Amino acid sequence: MHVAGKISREDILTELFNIGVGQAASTLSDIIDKQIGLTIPSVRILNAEKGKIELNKYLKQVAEGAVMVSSISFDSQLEGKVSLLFPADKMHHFIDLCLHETHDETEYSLDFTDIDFDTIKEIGNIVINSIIGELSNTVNIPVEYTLPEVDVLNNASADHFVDTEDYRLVLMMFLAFDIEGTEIAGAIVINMTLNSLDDILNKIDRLYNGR
Amino acid sequence: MDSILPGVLNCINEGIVIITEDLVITYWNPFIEKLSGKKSEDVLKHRVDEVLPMLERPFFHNAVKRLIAGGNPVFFSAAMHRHLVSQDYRVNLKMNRISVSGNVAVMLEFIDVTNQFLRINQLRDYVNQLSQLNNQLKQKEKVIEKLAYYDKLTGVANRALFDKFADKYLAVAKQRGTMLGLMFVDVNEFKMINDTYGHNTGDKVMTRVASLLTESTRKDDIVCRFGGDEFVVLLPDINTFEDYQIIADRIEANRKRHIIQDGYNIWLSLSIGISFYPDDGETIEDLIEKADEFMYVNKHQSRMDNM
Repeated sequence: MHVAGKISREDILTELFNIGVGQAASTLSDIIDKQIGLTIPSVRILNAEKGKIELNKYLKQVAEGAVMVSSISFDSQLEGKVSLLFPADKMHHFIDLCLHETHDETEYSLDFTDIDFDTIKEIGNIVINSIIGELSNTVNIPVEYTLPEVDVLNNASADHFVDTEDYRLVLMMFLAFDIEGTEIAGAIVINMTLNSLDDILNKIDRLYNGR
Repeated sequence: MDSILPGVLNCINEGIVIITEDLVITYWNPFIEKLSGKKSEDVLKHRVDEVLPMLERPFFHNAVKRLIAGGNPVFFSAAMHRHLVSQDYRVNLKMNRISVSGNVAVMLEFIDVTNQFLRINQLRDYVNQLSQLNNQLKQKEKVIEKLAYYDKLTGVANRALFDKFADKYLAVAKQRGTMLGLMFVDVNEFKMINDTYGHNTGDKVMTRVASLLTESTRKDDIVCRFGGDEFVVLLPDINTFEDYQIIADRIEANRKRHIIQDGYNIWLSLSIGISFYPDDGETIEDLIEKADEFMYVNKHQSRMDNM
């Protein structure tokens, strides 16, 4: 969205996050020795209620709401939670691609081993690190967090990821993951306090729009 | 406090390595000695990516740079990084930024998950074995079902399967107000065929009769071998007499004819009686009795015609 010749905040965030996931793709390519593409087509800034509606739409489309989630909470100057969501039914194939393994389709279920969880933990760590790291570097606001927690949620709803208290806002984006031609569509939800997002957006405005 | 830390790190069952910003090893605990097979005195003051060559890759160098700059922990999984420390062990690697004597350093924690891999592989093997066993059992179940419900000689339904479907079809006919047809079929002079051409040929004639009936009826009709040379056919969903007539015409076309079996020219003729629910009875027993009765009338008629 371009307003009066100025670049919109959503466009700037989209660009920033794509730089981040570009680095994540290159790291992952180096690790698994396969060509990997990671892109975020657009970022939307939504209030918590609207964010929940949009997220529920995505969850309904994927595997009857069963998702594999990698999430971290962050605090200090910025406060919030980032969740990286993938459709659970695609994850065995996705993990097999990452590990250069093949298993019979009939072996696949929604049960995951500790090895699967650790694989997704690493991928989540790399992707989330790249996004939050890029944002933190650009606006020069430090962000502190721990390693991601990985979980499989059946019948997940937006309430798992979006907290409506504390005037929280939602940054919502889809993540197109391409491993040598196999595409998996994930979503990233950043639920953060209004103050945190204001801090980021004000810095972005100053950096890009000279305000 | 500082004095007890090395003691603690020496005891824990995790490989602990501390490196400087330049990747030089300053601490190497006994557990990592076990995992890597490399002694502390041989690796201290060396670069970690020289000691553990799997770390001599851009992903590791970049991770260290980011960790030192941002301080957020990093995780590398044993699944994605197969031989981080040696060929014998599978380890997860966690990296944290720490402060040592006022300087920034990086602590590497190598967590041994070799047993997890072994257990999961074992479980996968068990699951595969169970899955194979399950498939074999399903195959056997099919064979058992075939033996329980189908006539061994002709392959059509036996009486057990007939009983199962007869009650079901009658209930449906009562519910929907449709007719249920029951056809009684007998092979004329079958004893003579057996006596003349032998039992082996007689069995083959019986199989051909079963095929003839199956080919002449619809998908949901049940052809059943009822006794030695008797067949019963259940005809559900008969709405009009014409529905039945179509089937009867198909059977009639083949009911009396010469067949060639085992080189013999055999005269095959069938006697048929048909009864309908509700006109001829309310129960399956009534319908069988009526159809049997009509079949004997038909048989008698055939004999009279041949005289």
